[in-house]
Amino acid sequence: MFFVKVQGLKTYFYKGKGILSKLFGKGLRIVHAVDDISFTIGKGETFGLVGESGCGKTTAGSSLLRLVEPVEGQIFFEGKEVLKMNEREIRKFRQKVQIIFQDPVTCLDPRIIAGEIIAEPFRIHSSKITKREIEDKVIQLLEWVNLSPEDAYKYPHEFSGGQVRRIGLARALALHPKFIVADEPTSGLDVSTAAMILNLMQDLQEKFNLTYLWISHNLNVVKHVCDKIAVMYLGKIVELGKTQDVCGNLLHPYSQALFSAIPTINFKNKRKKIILKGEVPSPINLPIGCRFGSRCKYNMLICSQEEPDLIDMGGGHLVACHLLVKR
Amino acid sequence: MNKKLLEVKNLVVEYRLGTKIMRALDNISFSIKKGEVLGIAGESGCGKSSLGLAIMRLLPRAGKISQGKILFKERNLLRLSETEMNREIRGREIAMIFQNPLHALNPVFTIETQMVDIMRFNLRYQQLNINKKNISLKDRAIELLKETGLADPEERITDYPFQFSGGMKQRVMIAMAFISNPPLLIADEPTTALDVTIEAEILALIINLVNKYKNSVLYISHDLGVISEISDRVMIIYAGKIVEMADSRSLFDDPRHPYTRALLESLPGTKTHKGRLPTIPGCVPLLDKLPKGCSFHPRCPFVEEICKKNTPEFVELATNHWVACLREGKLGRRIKCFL
Amino acid sequence: MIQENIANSSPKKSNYRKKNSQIKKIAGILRIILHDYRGQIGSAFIIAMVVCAIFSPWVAPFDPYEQDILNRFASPSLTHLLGTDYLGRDILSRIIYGSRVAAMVSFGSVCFSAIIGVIIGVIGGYKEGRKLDYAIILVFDIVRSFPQLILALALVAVIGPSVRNLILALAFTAFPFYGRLARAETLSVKEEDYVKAAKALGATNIQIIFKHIIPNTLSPVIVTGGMDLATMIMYEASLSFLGLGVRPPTASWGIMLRNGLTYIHASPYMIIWPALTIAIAMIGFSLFAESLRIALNPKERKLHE
Repeated sequence: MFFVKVQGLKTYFYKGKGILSKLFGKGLRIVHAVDDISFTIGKGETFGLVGESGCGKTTAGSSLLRLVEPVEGQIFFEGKEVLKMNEREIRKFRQKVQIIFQDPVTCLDPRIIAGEIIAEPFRIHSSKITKREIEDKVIQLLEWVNLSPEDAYKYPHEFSGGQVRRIGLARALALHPKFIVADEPTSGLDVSTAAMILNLMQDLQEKFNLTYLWISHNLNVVKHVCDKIAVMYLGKIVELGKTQDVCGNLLHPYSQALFSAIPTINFKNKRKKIILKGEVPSPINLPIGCRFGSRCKYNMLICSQEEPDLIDMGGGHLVACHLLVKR
Repeated sequence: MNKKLLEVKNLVVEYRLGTKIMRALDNISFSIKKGEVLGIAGESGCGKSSLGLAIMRLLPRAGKISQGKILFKERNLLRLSETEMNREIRGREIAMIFQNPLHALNPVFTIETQMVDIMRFNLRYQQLNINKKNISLKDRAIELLKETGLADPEERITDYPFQFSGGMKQRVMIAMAFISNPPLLIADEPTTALDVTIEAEILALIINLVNKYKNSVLYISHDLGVISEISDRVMIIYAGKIVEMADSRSLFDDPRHPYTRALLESLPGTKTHKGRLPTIPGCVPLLDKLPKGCSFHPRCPFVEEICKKNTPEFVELATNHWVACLREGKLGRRIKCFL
Repeated sequence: MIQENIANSSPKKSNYRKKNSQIKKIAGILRIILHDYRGQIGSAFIIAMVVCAIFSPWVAPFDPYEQDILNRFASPSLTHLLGTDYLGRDILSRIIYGSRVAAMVSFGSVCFSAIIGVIIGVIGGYKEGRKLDYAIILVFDIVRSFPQLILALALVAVIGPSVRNLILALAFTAFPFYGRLARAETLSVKEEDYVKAAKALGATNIQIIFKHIIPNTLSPVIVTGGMDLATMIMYEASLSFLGLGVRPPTASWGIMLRNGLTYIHASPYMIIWPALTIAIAMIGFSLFAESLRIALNPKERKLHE
């Protein structure tokens, strides 16, 4: 039994539902944010979800927590189906699964002091807890993320980006979750702050035996931190496997282009960058066949007719590409 | 070609916020040759953006250039009047591309209007293109857009900025900057807001154009990878002062300032998988509460007593490799990791 | 690097400092207001009016109901600083007591309408697109389409004139404005990450609305409320002028205006002083509201520093 298992998850957004839109506008448009993804995460693992903006990774993370309701598919957490849970089960589920957000400006309520932000989970879930107990717990959480007790009385705008992320982390840890969805934990941070956050999250993972879903577009960070990686493009997973397997042997043309595009400091073997042609298609009017076809340099006839399935190329390394089936 | 295109001497930029005065840039001196790409790297709050704005004299109202000279083609830009700056320098001799193209393009005008407007009022452009009188301004704009790799420029030129993606908007911005083929291009984090694959495209575009037209570039970024790919020379700024300046290869192969070393060592993706990354303890000091002596000393793993009292001078340690550190580059082989 | 021992900060100290941060925030806003000339003038007027309203018996030199027929239509003198009216009552004292009515009606109706409007507006905004939201918008639009004064007039005519009814009627005409504001703010606030974080923590809708959404929609509401204070003073005066406000012999600026109009040929002072007072009170409140708006808006704050 896997710790987290996602099967055929689809999350769509609907634009233009009203009458006016149908009469005068473009009518109902469906944004296929997440379109049939499946993966599993083992306990204690760090699973990386990478891709560029618009690929659906953030929506996938939100869907796992049911912050947006998926249209189809199954999500299993510790064997139980999340999408079929009732009120009481969801309450318990929420204590075990948490999320930390990307945007440091909006992830904390600007009108509430940090201590109260961290105390909120306790106030929501236990009505019998005393004020002193809450204070003790808040101070402890602040310590775990290397902030001082005085910081509890400051407002979010008085903190730096790295500190805001840490407060979000402390809030997520309050109820001792088992699984945390980390949405771009290091984006927008300086190199040294990012390194500190990475170290902190790894320490916390060891200490509390956490499992992470690590969503990021920073491939260097993902390579460093994740055990398994899934590459997403326009709502679909195009490559999936253990980090060493995938990064050591990139099979999908998009993954190859993506990883080759990372700016690196390497004067000895200057890697030739694969420059993609064309623009990303819109997630509303999806092309027929492989979604990457229009930008792929290996584009064949079959690529514009059929969508490739995810096929195991050995050792759990899955790729969705017609090129590899031929081989 | 030893003539310096841009020479900055002892530049001091201060910001006044209420009663506090903060030095964003403290005694900055450097120069750029013709056709050279100088990369300015530093973390947020170090003052690098202020440098670009100061050269263009586009600092916000609270900012002031209190000391120093900015010599462009041996003219002191700080002595020119606003009209002269506008008529001769901005957009003509020196052009700037910004981080967020969404904010740099006017949303209520089409691309065509914006580009043609520039062409019409840009005297330098008119001088350079005096032989193109028979080609309409719109067609010339389309040519420029084609050069920046924008797809279907004939149709897209009549679109509004919101109809473009981030990468496309950045291409338009670059086209607009190149209208008068400026000898100096200032790029303030142009790819930070873009996806990795688009970033690679835009970087390749900039390198292409610069190689073709031999412009000099002042490239500001916090991403050391990008800086290493595009720059001939690199300058590292910390708390408003230059700490190290060298040829790109020399700096990245053999960093001599503790801060540069620490930065390079804390980048993920180069070390063992899931290992602890070395970090720099503490955080960047606030500009109005800088430590005495060397600004970096509270966080420096090689700190000595003398560092707390004296400010380090800029010293040339190897050919064209300058460092501002009282230990003068004697750092030993590996930095001590703060694990 | 992660310490295991719990910090030893005493709970008593920390409680005190928690309240302190709220006070710090309000003190910060007050400081900005008082540094601005508009805030200074505005606050002075508000304080003067509140003092007059609360401490009228001690501030006013005479009893506002005390008649002195032999001394009617007196011009301003040393005893009667503003003169007397048609019944010999001291105008200054009546104006001071009149501030009571003005203060009660303006503060009362603004508070009522703001509280009701915000709660309904936020609920509507939170359930955007559902039937409840459409119903709420409909109610807002219907009430809003009536001219405020005329609607208040009609209501008071039906339920009878008194201070309490005046407050209720004016509150009813005003609540859709606050509701619309609150609803608009809610639409953007509910998409923010911290609301999603609260949901992810398992908070119920009510908890989210009262803890996160309402406090973040209050900025424009407070500013509008400040401006409305001035407007409500004018409406109260208007309704009392028309005879549909407070009943005589209660001192109200509006009633004084009416009496002053009737006897304008006998003494111009009966109408000048209440008119001036209304104007000055309104200017004062408006200035204060403007200064409050600047204080609450971080961008404007920097411009004015």
